[in-house]
Parts: sequence; structure tokens; C-alpha cells
Amino acid sequence: MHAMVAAVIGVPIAGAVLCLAVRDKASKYIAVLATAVAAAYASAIAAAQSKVTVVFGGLPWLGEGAAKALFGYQVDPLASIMLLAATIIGLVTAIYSFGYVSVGNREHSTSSGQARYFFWLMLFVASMCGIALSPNLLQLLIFWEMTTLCSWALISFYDNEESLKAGMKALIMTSFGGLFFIGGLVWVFSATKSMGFDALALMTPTARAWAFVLFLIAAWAKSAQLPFHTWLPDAMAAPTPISAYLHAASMVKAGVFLVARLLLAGWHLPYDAALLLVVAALVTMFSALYFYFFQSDAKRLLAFSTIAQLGYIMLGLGIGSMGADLATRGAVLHILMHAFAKTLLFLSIGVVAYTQGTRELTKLSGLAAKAPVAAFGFFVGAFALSGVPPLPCFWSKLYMLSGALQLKGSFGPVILVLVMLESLATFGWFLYVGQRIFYGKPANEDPCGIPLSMNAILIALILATILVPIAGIPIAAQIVGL
Amino acid sequence: MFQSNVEITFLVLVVGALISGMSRSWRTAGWVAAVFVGAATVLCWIDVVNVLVGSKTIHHTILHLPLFGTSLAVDLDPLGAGFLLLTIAITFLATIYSIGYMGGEVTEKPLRFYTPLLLFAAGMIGVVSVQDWLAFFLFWELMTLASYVLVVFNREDPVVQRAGLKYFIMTHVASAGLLIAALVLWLKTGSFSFGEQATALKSSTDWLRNTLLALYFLAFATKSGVFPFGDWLPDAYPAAPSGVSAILSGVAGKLGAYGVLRVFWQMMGDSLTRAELMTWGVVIAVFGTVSAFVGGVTAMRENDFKRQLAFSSIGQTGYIYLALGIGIALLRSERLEPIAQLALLGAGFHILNDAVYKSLLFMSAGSVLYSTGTRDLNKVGGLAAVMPWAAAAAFVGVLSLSGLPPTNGFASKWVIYQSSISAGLEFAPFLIMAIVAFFAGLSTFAYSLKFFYGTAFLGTPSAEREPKRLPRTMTIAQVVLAAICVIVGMVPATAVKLVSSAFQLDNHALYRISSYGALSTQPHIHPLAAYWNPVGLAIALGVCVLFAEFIRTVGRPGKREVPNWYCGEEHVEHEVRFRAQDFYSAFNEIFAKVYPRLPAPRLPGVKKLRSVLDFDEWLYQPITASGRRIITKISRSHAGVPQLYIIWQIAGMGIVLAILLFTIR
Amino acid sequence: MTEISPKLVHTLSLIMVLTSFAAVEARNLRHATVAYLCQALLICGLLAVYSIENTALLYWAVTALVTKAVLVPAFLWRSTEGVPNESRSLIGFGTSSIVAILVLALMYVFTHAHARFFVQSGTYQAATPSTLLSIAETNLAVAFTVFVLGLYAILTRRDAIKTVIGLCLLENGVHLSLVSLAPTIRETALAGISTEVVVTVWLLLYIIGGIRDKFGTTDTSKLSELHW
Repeated sequence: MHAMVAAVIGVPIAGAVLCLAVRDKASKYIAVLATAVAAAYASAIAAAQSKVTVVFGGLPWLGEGAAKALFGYQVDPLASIMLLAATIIGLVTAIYSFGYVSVGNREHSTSSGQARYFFWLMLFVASMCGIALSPNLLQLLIFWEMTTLCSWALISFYDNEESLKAGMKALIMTSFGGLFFIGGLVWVFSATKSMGFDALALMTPTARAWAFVLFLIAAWAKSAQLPFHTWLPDAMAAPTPISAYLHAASMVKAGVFLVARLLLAGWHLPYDAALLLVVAALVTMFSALYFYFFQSDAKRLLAFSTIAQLGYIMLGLGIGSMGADLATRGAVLHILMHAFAKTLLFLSIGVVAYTQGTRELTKLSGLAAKAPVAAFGFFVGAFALSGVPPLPCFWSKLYMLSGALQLKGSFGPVILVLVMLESLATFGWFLYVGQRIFYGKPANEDPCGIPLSMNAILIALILATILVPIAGIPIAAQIVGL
Repeated sequence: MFQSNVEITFLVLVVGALISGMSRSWRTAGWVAAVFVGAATVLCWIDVVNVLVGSKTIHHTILHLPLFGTSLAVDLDPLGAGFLLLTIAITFLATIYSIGYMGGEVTEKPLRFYTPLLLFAAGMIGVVSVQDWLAFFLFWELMTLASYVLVVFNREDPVVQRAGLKYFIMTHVASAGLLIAALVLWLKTGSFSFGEQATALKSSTDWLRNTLLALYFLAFATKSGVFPFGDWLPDAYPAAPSGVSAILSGVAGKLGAYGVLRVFWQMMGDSLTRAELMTWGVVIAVFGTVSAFVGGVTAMRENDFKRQLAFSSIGQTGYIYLALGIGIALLRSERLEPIAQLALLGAGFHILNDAVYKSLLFMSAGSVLYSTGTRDLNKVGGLAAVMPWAAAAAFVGVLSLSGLPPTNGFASKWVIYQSSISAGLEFAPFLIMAIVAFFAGLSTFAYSLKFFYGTAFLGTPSAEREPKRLPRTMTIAQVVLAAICVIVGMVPATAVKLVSSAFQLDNHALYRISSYGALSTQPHIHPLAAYWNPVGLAIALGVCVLFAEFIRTVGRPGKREVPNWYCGEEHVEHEVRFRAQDFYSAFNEIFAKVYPRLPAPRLPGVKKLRSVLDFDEWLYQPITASGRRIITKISRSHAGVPQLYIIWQIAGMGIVLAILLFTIR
Repeated sequence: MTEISPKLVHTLSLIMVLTSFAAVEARNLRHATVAYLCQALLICGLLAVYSIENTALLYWAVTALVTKAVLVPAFLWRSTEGVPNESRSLIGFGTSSIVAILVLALMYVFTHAHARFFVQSGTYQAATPSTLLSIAETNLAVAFTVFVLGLYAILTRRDAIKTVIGLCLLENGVHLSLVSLAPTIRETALAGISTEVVVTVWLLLYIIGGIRDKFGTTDTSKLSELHW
């Protein structure tokens, strides 16, 4: 297990360093290789289905006790889910970038900088794996800030004013949230002399709730939840594969992962805090939904859908912390399911932007004949996202909704109806947008050459999206809530 | 490995979907698909015969899903088998029809047609052969998804896009209700099976039970296109390729009725209270009556013949729901139980008949469309000369639709009228419904005449385009369906037996059946016992016709041919045709408001809410802007003169020193 | 072991005041460089004298000879090649002389009145010989004056080269006070060597050379374009 964990984090880092050493051309091969190795090991870890916590060392000056055991790793179903998402989507992103970050791209022709691109991408993969495997808050914080850094660098990749601004915005807003993380960490540590996820259990219920709220604010900022959601749509200035990775498997997922980690550490969240979590998630979901209808840029639309879907995860965790086990499982499962569906959507839109040079919905039309794989991918992704059975998100939402119904009183049915409404509206709007982009008369007669690597990975991803519930559900089923 | 033909059928259809999708030639793909669907039909029918004739149910588990406390199982009972029979047969004929229909000037790949078509069939088979809500829901959605892909086949057309969008969204929203109901009951029992969920539903509170029943009803009514839930239908049916329209209207829509039968009769018939049964029955019947009326009246107004047929589907669904409603309302009532059974029989019979003649008519409409390239009734005419067989089949279809003897349409409507009038004598509202339905039946006759006689087949040909001849496959499918219409109409007893065995009704309790197919109502149903002998009537009519011909031959009336006189003006012949839009104008003026097209609603306060939710605009941007302003002000002190900086430094140093000295003391 | 001659030290340090005044006031940059070179030699001499008390200071003296008396003047010489005259200063010769004399006088009075406070609050304990104490009083006055003259040069001379010279004067003042306050301990040498500014001077002159190439002047008041 040591070796596998080391490989999952170490290989991408090594790849990143190697990327800097070699020229642009070779970097993409290194990236694909390194992420493939990481994905293989992550799958092996997930397949092993073990629950291990290993700690190697700590910071002696922090004092006795728990502070001595700070660095190590923790493998459990939650970590497995996150690892799978981070590495497999990382691999997909790397392969897709193979063709996307090139001169042939009509939206952003890129001739240099691949080494820089893949360096940050792989560092990103490694940081996400680090987050997944962190055994305590301190180590998680370190990798957490690393992801902030990586996303900043990648959002600003194109070096134009828009992307620089967007990168700065993301950096500022997420590190603002990070301050709350640090605050929470300091509080928990000073109160309990421990940085473990279960340290909150040692605090009084009131203090615990407030400390949790601090972490929650950090998670909100990271996961682009209301009121910190505004950085995510702007971050669409990033190259599309990066947006896909940022949204689907990393960065924003770190926030919900933190909340999931804390809630699954075996302590009871006071009801008021859980209520806050649930209500904020609902507000986020519906605000994001509301913004769907004003987006003219396909990628911004996807950004708002990410915000809403992360709201789902938060909602599931909130319901779970009220005592409905199934909802927690659903939320964790949703991390993985949403990763695949969203990546598929992004990569399909990426193909559209690659060939048409624009993402404006008003300028796109009739692309199904030219880019059939992208069209199919978009629809599969949209259906998967909105929970059309038997595609991925249907199962996670099914779990969450059954969890909601486990709650006492009328709260559960209300949530059920709201979630259904949101899902259906999402479904309708994505269907509409998909038809608008892919159906109708073609907007122009330009031929479009789509690189083989992009089409191939799209087909693979479509298959993976259809099949991922088979892998995900058994893992999520092992998650035991309170 | 396989214990029933149903799962083999499913597999055959999925494999067929893949194989036919691989072909690049439409013709090859079509034949491959037809072979697979044909094989599926044969396989299914073996099971159907086992269930209906051998009266045994098929039940075995394929896959256990312990995570959800359920398992995927084939579970075919007589009701499901009856629908299975119909579904796969109509699908097979529609596939045959599509070989010719899609062989024309289609630029798309066959992958976009035959693959979803076969998956659609697979979904429908799945829906009727499971007894588990989760599986039901999965197949139901598969069906919806596949049919959506088929509806938007002509995806370049914005009208088609809108139709597909509306169709998918509306049915999807409705089926969400199914999922909610299934989940709620699952939490109570831990099982998705029909039986256990019915038990849970029975033990629920009144409020919850009726809410869930409403959800079921909504889902199924939307699928079958009951007014007003079926608002998608007039857009989606015309948009789809005609073979698909035939399936959609002929069988997919009927699965909504299947759902209603399943839930309100099979599942809950024994456990609901009489009052609840009555309420739900009346609700269903009222929706049915309204649909029948609206469909009939609106269809009369339409000049787009596929749209007209779509409205007619709404109307015919209305009849089915009327009968279903009466059947459910009177279920388990001591005295009127036979009437309930009669009504249910009528519903089932009409489902069968409507499936046959409606798919036939959609195929006829497709033939006209194929031949002339337009759906506008004003622009077509005189096609009987081009497609005599199809015209004859369409004639039979129109007679059936209008419910004229001796076709099957009359037979089932006769049963429905019988039951509704009998019920109406006991409970007056049903009588009103029966009268409305009767009126709708008349309008049905009127509009179908318009379609057939008025323009498409008879009359003078339009000069816009030289009509194409039909491929043989299209003609065959229509003729077969027309033959079924006539046969069932002539010998209704066989079909009644089939339906009653599917519904597990005792048909002998309802009818005395004579050896030549005549039906007479058992007197215990109602003293006004009726008798229907189509063969006899046909012979009588035949004799009349022969007699008329005899008089004509004997009388030798003088015959002269004179051109029409247009006040001396010279006209090209097709310009002075009697056009479709001139039919029934007075009638249409009266009912103009029955199915208005409403403008999209506008929501107030949309922009306001948007700016409130845009935190960038009123929170973050002001904060960053003021931050920037402050920083700019500070940076003014950065004058660019080194001496100044040094003074700052010295001053700073002085302050530090002062503090140090002060504190050290 | 010989005693330190207070007279010699006083003479050397008083000449330091003159040299620094010359380095500040000379309009010709090369002359100023030469004046600075003289001062560097003087401080090397002072260090050498103090090494009688503490041999470790000899290392510092040698280092200072290399850095202050050789490298820094050489750098200055090279960078003033072709531009002998400084740009006009903010304050003229007359005012400068008054300032210098005033500072020296004030500092002399101040150190002789309060030296004990500085001396005793440092590492310099009661064991210190009284001769060193009296030397320290004058030296401190000189060191302060040199320091203030350096600061004065930085603040009032517009020419960037003069700023560099001023910086060197600051350094010399600090070093002089350092060696006067704590001549007996070995760490003084270490502190002195490690605070050599030769690298800074080199960097500054390099930047100034760049500025001259870019703007054609080393007048700092004309460099406001550099600010953002």
C-alpha cells in the first residue's frame, strides 16, 4: 500500500518536474504516461477496498501527542472515490489536451507553453491525490493550497487580460476561503491539541458547530457555492480541458471533499449547522439554476451547472449529517458520477470550440453532422448530469433522494420535490441548449478536422460514463455515516 | 441460461440495434432491422400464446440488485402479455413500412433511425414485461429517450427541434412522478415490486395514497396524450418520421393506458375504498371525455394531415380513458360490477383497435407525405390513382377511425357506448360523458372524411409536384393492417376473447357469442340488451349495393359529361379544387377557442432577481474597486525620487529606534 | 604588546572627517573618488592600529583594504569614466560646510557628555582601559559626523554616483563606531567583514550604468519615469 500511495502522488510530481526539463513536444507524452500510471495505481487502491491510516511523522515543535503524527496517508472508500475521479479524469484531460493544446485549435491556437501547461496539470493531479489521501487537516490544507496555486496558473494559461483577471479572481476568492480553513484549523488545534478530522468530536457542541462553519466557509469558497460562486464562471477563461478538470475532478471537488471528510470522521454535527448546510446548498442550487437561462456562452452555462451539482453534494452531505445514511452515500457517489458527466460535457463543448472557434450559443448551430461524437457525448453528458436513468447521476440522486425521504417530518418530501424540480429544469435546459448547438442548419460550411486523440477519448469517456455506476456504487455502498 | 423468450427478445433487439446501426445503406439496415424485429415478434408471440392461451405466468429473476433491495426479473402476466402482443406486432409492421419510407431522399445515416427504433421497441417490451417499479422506470425512460431521438430525426428543422424538446421534457417531468412514487413506497417496504408497493400504498395515509395515485395518473396520462397533459403530442407525432409516428401513436401512447390499468385496476383495484375508486374513475373518465371532445373538434380544424391525426389520437385516447374511468369507478360495486367489466373490456378492445387503425392511418399519412413531400392537405389530391392499394387501406382506416360498421372501430366503440350508457343510467354524469363522446365520434367521422375524401386520395390532383409511387414494403404494411381492421370488425368475438383473456375477464358473463362472431350482451348487464352481427350486416349492405347496381344497370340512366362552368373564366383545373381549408368553416368558427395557442408567459422581476444574485455586481466588484482606489492613493506616495524614499526610511528608522529606546528603558 | 596611541587615532579619525567632506563636496566625481580612496586608507589604518588590541581586527583591516580601498574606488573610477562632473547638487558648498562643522561640534559635545552611556550599555565592560574609552568618545563623534555626511550626500546630491559614495560613507561611519565601541572582542571583526557593502556598490553601479545607458543621465531627480 505504501508503494501504491507513493506512486499515486509521486509519479505525477515526477512527471511535472520532468516536463520542465524537456521540451514542449515531449511533455505531453510524459503527462499522459504519468497520469496513466497514477490512474492505474488509484484504481488498484480503490479495488483493494482497504481502510488504512498510516502516519510517518509530525512537527515536533507543535508539542506532544497528536501533533507528532501529522504526515501520512489514509485510504478508505471516500479517498478511493476522490482518487478515482482525480486520476482518471486527469488522464482523460491529459489525453484530450494532447490534441487540444495545439496549433490546430481555432479558438486558441497554441504553439508553445505545453511544458508549462502539463507541469501545472500534473502538479494538480498530484495535489488532488494528496487531498484525497490526507489523514488530517494540516496535510489536507497543504495540498488544498497547492490546488489553489495550480488552478491559478492554469486559469491564466493563455496570458491574456481576461484569463489573468480570472486567475487572480479565483486565487483571491479561494484563498480568502483558505483563511477560514486556517482559522478553523488553529481553533481546533488550540482547543484539542489535535489536527485529526475527528478532533472536532472533542469540542463542545457549540464550538464544534462554529468551527465546522469556518471549514464550511472555506469549502464554499473552494466549491464555488453561494456567495462565493462568482469566480467559477470567470474561470472559464481557462483552456477547456482544464475547465473540465477543474470542475469535474479537482479544485471545486476539494471543498465538498473536506466537508465529507469532516462529516464522516465519526462525530455528530449539531442540527443547526446541518440545517445551514442544507439550506445554503438549496439556495445555491436554485440560484445557479436561475443563471442557466441567461448564459450565452456554453462554458459559462456548464460552470453554473457545476455550482448547482456541487450544491447537490453539499445537500446530500447535509441530509446525511441529519442522520440519513443513504444521502451521505449518494453525495459521495455524486462526486464520482458528476466528475464523469461533467467532463464529458466539457470535452464535447471543447470539440465544438476547437472546430468553430467560438462558444457563443447564438453562433453555433447544426454541428451534429460535423461532430457526431461530440454531439452524442454532449447529450449523454447532459442526460447523465440531469439524472436520466440509468446514467450515472441518476443513481447518486436516487440515493440522495431516498436519504431525504428517510428524514422525519415534512422536510424530506420538500427537499425531494425541490431536487426533482431542479433536475428537471436542468434536463430541459440542457436538452434545449444541446439541440441549439447540434441541431438545426449548420452555421457555416467550414470543414472541421478534429484530432483523433480528442474523438477517441470522447468515445472512451462516453463508455466510461455509462459504465461508471458499476464501479462507483459498490464503493459508495461501503461508506458508513454516523 | 434464458428461461423465457422475453429476455432473448430484448437481447435480439439490442443486438439488432447495433448491427443495423453499423450499416451505411438504408435498405440493408432496414431489412436487417426488420429481420431482427420479426424474430423478436415470433419469440414474443410464443410467450404471449403461452400466457394468454396456456394461462400461465412467466416469472424468473435475471439479476439481483441487493443494493436496492430488488432484482431485475421477467414477469409476464396476461395483462402484460396482451400489450406485448400488440406492441411488438405493430412495431414489426412499422419497421417493414420504414424500409420503404426511409429509403427516399434521406441524407442521414441509418444509425440515427434503426438503432433508436429497435431500442424503442426493447424499451416497450421491457415496460410491459416487468413487475418492478425500478425496472419499469428504467425501461420507461429508455423508451422515452429512444423515441425522443426518433422524433428529432429531422433535426435541422427548428419545428422538429421544438417538438422533440417539448415531448421529451413533458414526458420526462411526468415520469419523475413515477420515480417519486416508487421511492416513497420503497422506503416503506424496501422493495420495488408491484405487489409489495401496492401493499405499502394500501397502508399509507389517505393523503399520501391519493397524492401518489395522482402522480401515477399524471405520468401515464401525459404519455398517452390525454388533454391537457398531452400538449406535446400534436407537435411530436407530426415531427417524427411516419413509421415512428405509427408506433408512437399506435402502441407507445397505449402504454399510458397500460399504466393506468396496472395501477388503478391490477394493483389497487382490490385495496382502494369504493369512494376512492369512484372518485378516481370519474376523474379519469372526465379527462377522457374532455380529450375525446377536444381531439375531435380540433382535428377538424387542422389542414396538416399528420397533425390532424395527432389530434385524433388525443380524441381516441379520450375514448379509452372514458371506458377505463367507468370501469374503475364501478369496480367492486355489487350491482354494477358487470358494467365495470364491460367498460374495461371496451377499453381493452379499443386499445387494440385504435392501435391497429391509428398506426394504419399514420402510415397512410406517411405515404401521402412520401409521395408528395408535403403535409398540407390543401396541396395534395387525387392520389388514389397513384397508390390504389394504399388508398383502399386508408379508406378502411378512415372507416374504422370514424367508427363505421362493419370495421373494428365500430365494434369497440359500440362496446364503449354500451357500457357508458348502461353506467349512465345508474349514474347520470356518465350519460353526459357518453353523449359528449358520441358527438366527438361524429366529428371524427367528419374530419376523417376530410382527410380521405376531401383531398388526399380523391379529387383532382395538385400540380405542384409529380407524386411518387410507393415502395412495396409500405403498401404491404398498410394492407396488412387494413385487413386486420376488417377481420376484427367482421369477427369481433375472437378479439373480444383475446382481450378478455388478457384482462382475465369472463367474456361469457358479458356476451353471448355466436359461432359466426356475432355478439349479444348478456341480459344481466342491462335489460336493454344489444345485439351486433357484423357478418349479417355486411351481407345486408352487400345486398343493397348489388340491388342499387341492378337498378342502375336495368334503368340505363342517360349520362353526359360536361365541364364545370366558372362564369366563363378559364381556369387550370387544379386551381379550382375544393380545398381542405374550406371544410367545416362554420363549425370551426364556433370551436375556434377550444385549443388556442397560448403565448409564452412572461415572468416579472426576472432581471431584478438576476442582479440580486449577481454577487460580483454589488458585492465583490465594489469591494475590489474601493481596494484598488485605496491602493492607488497609497501608491501616489511612490514619487520616483530616491531621496524621498531614503527620508521615509530614516523616518521609519527613527520611529523604530524611538520605540526601542522607549521600551528598553 | 604596545599601547594604542590616542594621538594617532585622533589624527587619523579627524582626517576622516575632512576626507568625507571632500568626497561629498567635490564636483568632479573622480576627485570625490580619490577623496573616498583616502578615507578608505585611513579607516584601514585605524583598523590596523586597533589590531594591536585585538589581532582578529587585522583580518578586517586586510579585507577592508581590498574592498574599501581597492574594489570600491575601482568600480567608482570605471563608472565615472567620461562623466567627470556631477549634476548640480541641491544644496551648495557654503551650506554644506556649515552643516558639517555644526554636526561635528554637536556630536563632539554629545559624545563627550554621554559616551559612557553608549559604551557601558554595550559589551564593553568596566574592564576596558580608560585610553580606549577616551578614544572612543572622539571616534564616535567622528563616526556620527561621517555617517551624517553620508546621509547628507544621499539626500542632497542628485547624482546617483554621489548616492553610492554617500552609502560608502555611511558604511565607514558605522564601521568606525563599531570598532571604537568594541575593539576588544573577536566578533567585532566578523561583524565588520560581514557588513561590507562592496557587493551592494557593485550592484548599484551596475544599475546606474544601465540607467545612464537608457536615460543618458544619472540625475536621480530625472528618473521619476521609473515609478509605476
